[in-house]
Amino acid sequence: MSLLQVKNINVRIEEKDILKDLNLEIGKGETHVLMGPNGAGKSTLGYALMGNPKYEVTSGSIIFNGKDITAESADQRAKDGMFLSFQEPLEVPGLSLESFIRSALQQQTGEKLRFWDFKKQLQQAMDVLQLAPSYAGRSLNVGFSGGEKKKAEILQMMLYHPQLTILDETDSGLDVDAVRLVSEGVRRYQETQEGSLLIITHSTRILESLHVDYTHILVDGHIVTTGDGSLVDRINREGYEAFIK
Amino acid sequence: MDMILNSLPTRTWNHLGMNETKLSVAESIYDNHCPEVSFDSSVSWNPSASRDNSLPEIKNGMGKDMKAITSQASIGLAETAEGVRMEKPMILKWSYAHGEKSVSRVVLHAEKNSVLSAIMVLSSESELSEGFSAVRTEIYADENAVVNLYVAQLLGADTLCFNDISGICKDNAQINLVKLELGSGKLYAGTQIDLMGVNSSFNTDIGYHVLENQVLDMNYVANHFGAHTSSHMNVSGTLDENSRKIFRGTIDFKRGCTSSSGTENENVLLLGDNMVNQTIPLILCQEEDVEGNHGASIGKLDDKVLFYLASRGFSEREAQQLIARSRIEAVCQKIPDEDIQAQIREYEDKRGSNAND
Amino acid sequence: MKEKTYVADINRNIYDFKNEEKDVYRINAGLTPEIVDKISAEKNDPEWMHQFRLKALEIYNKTDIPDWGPSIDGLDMDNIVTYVRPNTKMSAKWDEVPEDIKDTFERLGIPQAERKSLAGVGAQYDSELVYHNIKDEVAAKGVIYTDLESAMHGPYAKMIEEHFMKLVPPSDHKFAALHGAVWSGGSFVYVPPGVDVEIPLQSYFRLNAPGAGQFEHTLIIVDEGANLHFIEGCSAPKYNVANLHAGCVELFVGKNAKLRYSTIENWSKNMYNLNTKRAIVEEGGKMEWVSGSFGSHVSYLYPMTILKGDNSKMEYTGITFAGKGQNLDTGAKVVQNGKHTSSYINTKSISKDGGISTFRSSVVIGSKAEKAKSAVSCQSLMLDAISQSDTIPAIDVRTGDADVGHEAQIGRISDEAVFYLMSRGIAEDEARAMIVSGFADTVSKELPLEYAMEMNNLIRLEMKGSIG
Repeated sequence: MSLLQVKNINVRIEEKDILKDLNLEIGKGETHVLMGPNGAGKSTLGYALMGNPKYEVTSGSIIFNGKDITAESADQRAKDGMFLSFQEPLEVPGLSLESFIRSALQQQTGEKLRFWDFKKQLQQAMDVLQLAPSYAGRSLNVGFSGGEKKKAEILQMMLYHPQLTILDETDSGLDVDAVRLVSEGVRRYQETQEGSLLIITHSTRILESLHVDYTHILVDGHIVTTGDGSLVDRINREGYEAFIK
Repeated sequence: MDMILNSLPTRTWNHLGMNETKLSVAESIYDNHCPEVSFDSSVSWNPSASRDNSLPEIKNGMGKDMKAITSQASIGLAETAEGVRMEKPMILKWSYAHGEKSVSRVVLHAEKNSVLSAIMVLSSESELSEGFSAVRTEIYADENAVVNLYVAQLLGADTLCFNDISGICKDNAQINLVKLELGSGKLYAGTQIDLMGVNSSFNTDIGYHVLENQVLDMNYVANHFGAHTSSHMNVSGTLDENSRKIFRGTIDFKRGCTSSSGTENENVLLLGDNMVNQTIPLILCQEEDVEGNHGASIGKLDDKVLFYLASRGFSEREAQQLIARSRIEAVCQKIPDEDIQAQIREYEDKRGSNAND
Repeated sequence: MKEKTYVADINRNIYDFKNEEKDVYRINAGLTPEIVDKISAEKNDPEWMHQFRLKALEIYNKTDIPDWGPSIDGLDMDNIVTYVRPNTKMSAKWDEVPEDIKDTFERLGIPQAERKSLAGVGAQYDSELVYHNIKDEVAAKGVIYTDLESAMHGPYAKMIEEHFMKLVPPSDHKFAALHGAVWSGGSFVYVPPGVDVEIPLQSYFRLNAPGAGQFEHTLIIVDEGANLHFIEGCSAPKYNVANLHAGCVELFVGKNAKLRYSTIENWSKNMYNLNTKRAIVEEGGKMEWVSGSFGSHVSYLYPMTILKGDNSKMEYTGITFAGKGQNLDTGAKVVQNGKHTSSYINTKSISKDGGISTFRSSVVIGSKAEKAKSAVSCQSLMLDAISQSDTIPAIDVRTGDADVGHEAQIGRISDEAVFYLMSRGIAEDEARAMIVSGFADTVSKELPLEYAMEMNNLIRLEMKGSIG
């Protein structure tokens, strides 16, 4: 059974139709890449899957783990095991990264966490991403560089154990080292947590060290082509020209 | 006794009810309450000082009626000698008995080139205690001196609280004020700082969370007299359903305060409904060469914030509580004493659970 | 030769000429029921209006002057001649307007403006409306533009009785009460449902007698789905005694209707301008204010909008320029009671040569105004260190479901900007004038071209000699 089935969805934001009769299926442990020119609706798909109320699903359905979640709120989808990494994550002065992740985990699982267990997991994940321990006590994303914010998102992915992770342009604006660390985090998620991934990107740097099962090309709200990982290389060479219109 | 408190430096439409606050208190003479004080040798403390004539009279923060009501109180005087820089802040604790009604006065005087830091904690016998607390603090920051004052107001829910702060800065002096307004049923706070000296400054961070049926009434004034003076007011808080708050903030650029700057910002998070939120941020300006800014933003949690937190599993209500707590925490972290930070957090936890019952 | 618009060659002088005061009917200074009776009789008021005036007078005598705002000590109400009327009857033909009055308006360019781009023009001279005209094609759509006094006796009598001083009751403040007692002249505009008046209607007020008061009443009703732009211009020559303007503007914006009300006020600098303007907006309607305040000795002017209907909107764009001897207290007020209402207030103020400008506002969001939005932005420019600029914005929010923002800045002309322009060969005073004009751009771009040019000329005049 597929983990995610997107059936013929149409998505609208502020009276504008963005996604049109879009279909997508992601199986357990699979890694899908979604590429496409600017304005194709890539981020819209991420938001619609996560349940942003501004993105109205006018028809079609989203099935996650066999359950129709089309009408579910975002926090419920998070509890169901979906995770979206944001391009511009939230900054909250006075809320430390550590206590944020801990209370989010408690929200998702409904259980109190044992402090030292959590602390240990946090430390390990931060080590992978080479985030200095002091970041745990710093206010969420406040004064973080672009790369640090992205790492803080990947850190959450590693700790929440989602079944499906949607990475929205996680590699944009990162330097070479940061891309390497972020993809290392993602690789561990693929391997040790058997997580499924939908990687939305328009560059390919994050994909270099990752195994990719499927690549989809999104143009003007439709998936126009689906291929395997090698499609990424073709896009790299030829661009999107061949897929447009 | 009828009182007029927290008057705006200049009036506007009366029907708005923001020009001043009028209220009655039962008596006009109260007992004296001397705080419990801990300090090290870097500061001198005299719990019943006579008014030191070397210190000029300064206007108090809440107006003359507050001055009258506190005029009988004995003065607790803390002084740092020239050049002495306090490392560890002194701590002044007011613990009010249930039903206590009392007044206090404190003078903080930092002599030239010295640093004086003080933490004031006001608390009651229980979170639900009733009573009356009036504390008036005067700050004198001499040349190149710094005064850091931290106030955590954790009084019982049925307490009436007056908190008055005024200060004067000489050349290159600095007054930094961190305030957490959490407790008491009705709280009136007025602060007036005169930036007399060249290059003097006043910075304040204020955090509040006004619960149901609570009233918070504030009046902050920065008077820029000297050249190259600066003031910053950062106010951030949360209003629950059926709460009431007014923030009056004034930056007053007096003629001659060339090259000065002032900013004030208030950020109000509205939770629930039927609250009264009044904000009146004034800039008065008689000088050309200045820069003044004020901003206010008042509303619910932004949709973007809500969606981000929802994507991490927080429901709307949980997200609101998380952000409200963070706002208090951001100010709490500026108080340089871990025990007091813990006391504040514990107080907030209790208060929060009482409010949710 | 290129045709000049009437404002292109405007200068201060044209506002300062005075006509000899002749043959005019004057009422004794001071205010008693007898005087009000007399005014009422002169006006041929219907009885309800006569009684209304007397009640307003009672309120006036009981009400204190405001305890906030600029001083009006220079205004001695006992010596204000409250009623001055030139010896002419209302005219609809320019040719029939008496020569000296016509001359005044010719010099102000009123008829030219009418010919060029306005749907209709009304002109008030002291307390009386002397000239009213409306283009035939606008009249054909059923648009009424006439003087209020004669309208009280015409087919719209009932409509006037239902609306007159209902938005601004005499109990509002002392000068509203005064207005209620002695109002004289002014305009009545009615735009029927669905009618779009594409070109603006204009009225022009001019005060000529020394020590006089002008109390015109403007009542505009824009019915459901209709659209109107109304322009008001004011000026007066200069005398050594104080003049008083206590007009009243009441605007009713119907469901899904839109009204834009533009004012360029350039009263002479002995004027006490205590004017009250208010609009109420029904569901889906929109009120836009564009306001330029340049003249007067003292001004209290805060157009207020009541957003009563759901989804109603208001926008206020204003500029105030306070020069020597001026204390201009201006701003805007909004009360949002309807759901999904929005307000946007954007103001600029400039203080120079000892002038005092105060931006004063209030935004009140009622407890039922779910999803109400409001944004206030005000910027003030100090051009020297002898002037004063105050910002007094009040915000009162009573619903948790509102989104309110406020920002204000105060500062000076940046030296870098002046230097940049000078490095391109522009003289310093010209550079500063350019920067101030740019600062005022948000307002001038909202005005019809002639008015925008007039405003820029006024700014240039004010800026002249600002160096040294």
